[in-house]
Amino acid sequence: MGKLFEWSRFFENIPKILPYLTVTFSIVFYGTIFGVLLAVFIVLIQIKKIRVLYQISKVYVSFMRGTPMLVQLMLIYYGLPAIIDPLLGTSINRDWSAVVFAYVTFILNQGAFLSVIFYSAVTSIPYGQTEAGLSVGLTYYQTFIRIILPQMIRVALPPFGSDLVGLFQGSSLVFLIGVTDIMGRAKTIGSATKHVLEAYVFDVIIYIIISLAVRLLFWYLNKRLDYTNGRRTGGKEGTPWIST
Amino acid sequence: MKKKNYVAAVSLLTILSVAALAGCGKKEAASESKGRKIVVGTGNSYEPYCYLDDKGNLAGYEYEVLKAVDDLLPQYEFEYKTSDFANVLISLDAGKIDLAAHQYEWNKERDEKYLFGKEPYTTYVTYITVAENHPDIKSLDDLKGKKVKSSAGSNTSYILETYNKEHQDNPIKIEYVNNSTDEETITGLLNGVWDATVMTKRDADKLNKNYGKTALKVTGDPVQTSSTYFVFSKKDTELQEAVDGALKQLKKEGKLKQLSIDVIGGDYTESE
Repeated sequence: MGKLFEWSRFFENIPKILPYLTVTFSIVFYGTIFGVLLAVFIVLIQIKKIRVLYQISKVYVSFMRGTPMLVQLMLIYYGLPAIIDPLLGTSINRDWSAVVFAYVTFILNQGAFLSVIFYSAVTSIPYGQTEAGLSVGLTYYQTFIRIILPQMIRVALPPFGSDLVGLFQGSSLVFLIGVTDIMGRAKTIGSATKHVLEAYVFDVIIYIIISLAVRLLFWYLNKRLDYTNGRRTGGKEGTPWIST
Repeated sequence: MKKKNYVAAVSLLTILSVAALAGCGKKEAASESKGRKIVVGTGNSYEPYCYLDDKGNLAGYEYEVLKAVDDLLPQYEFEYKTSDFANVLISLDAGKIDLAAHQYEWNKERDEKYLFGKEPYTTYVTYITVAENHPDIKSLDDLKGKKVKSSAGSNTSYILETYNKEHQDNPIKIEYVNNSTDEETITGLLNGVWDATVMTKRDADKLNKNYGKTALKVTGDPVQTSSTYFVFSKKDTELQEAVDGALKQLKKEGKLKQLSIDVIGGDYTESE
């Protein structure tokens, strides 16, 4: 087995691991895009307090936030087909590959987490602003789009950024249901070559770069969307490494 | 008017997501098969039986044997699905796969739930394995109160758990470690994280060879002498008989032996 860590093996691993970054990115991509849509849907239910759906959404969000991601992944992978297949006469159990179940899990999970972020962002805008909008003759919809939404995005942005960083890390769980992402590839390189440390170190570097990039992006967005030019308390300029 | 907008938005969202998911599913189901599609479930980190090669493709003894079996059975078409060891049999339960291949030894607990092939394709003789410089441990009795590495869902765990049921006063401490790499196993045993583990002689030899010098040794009599079989779901006798027939033919032609020598590095198909 020789030395525990060798740079030559580290560089050999790079081309083996890098292609699997697309798997990680696609999970984050689907999880975020459809997660946002689901979150908007949940927030609508909660703000409008639509009966029955409101209670269901509360239980749903609490369940998703209160249980480990791993459990959710297993439940969706094994449990979802057991419910849906007999109900709809489909056979997603066999037809969907493991990665599709991973997408579904991350969409459902992100929907819940993002809904909380969005909900608190919407409610952080004082109701007086809505009243002001309505009083000058804007419709409810116009008030929301022109007055509430721009401010809300600004409030939601920082937690959305850290959620995204967490999502990248969470995606490493999918290896357990047989989806090979960069983490899974590191494991399999380990079992094939008996040297796993170099692959892990490379993964760590990838995750750090992603995390820094996401935080930098959100720091930049945060600054761009600062309509008040730093006059408001929340909007003071900070360094990208601390503030987001 | 307001309400209408919401209803429209909500239904649009629902349709969008359903359509997107259905789209994802279709891509996977599109491939047309010539025979009945059999999904084979196997592991992804047990070299040289089932692991991913340089390019990330499934490789190993299980795969080679199954490929040869598939060639003999025109009525079936095998498709491979890899996952963590502990999840392979669960996938069989859930109907995600039709055939499980991961050096499965027969045991009573498994036999109650699954259909075992009748035709073994490798022998599996396991020994207590300890670090080279470790004081002698000869049998399971010497392991009482000691920490033993095993993996959840394995036959070794089953044996140790059965042993513990009979020796509840001072049981063996089973440490379940799944998906561990060989490096982790060796380092853990040398550092005393675990006092022992249970493995086949060929696995111990493989670990020593990769470590560069003798670090581990197998001791005492075999803990268990058995063979490995493919595992099917209870109702799938037709598939089981077909696979068994193909295995018999491979044995007769000497092809299985050749695969064992090529991939594992010795003939482990009949005896050790």
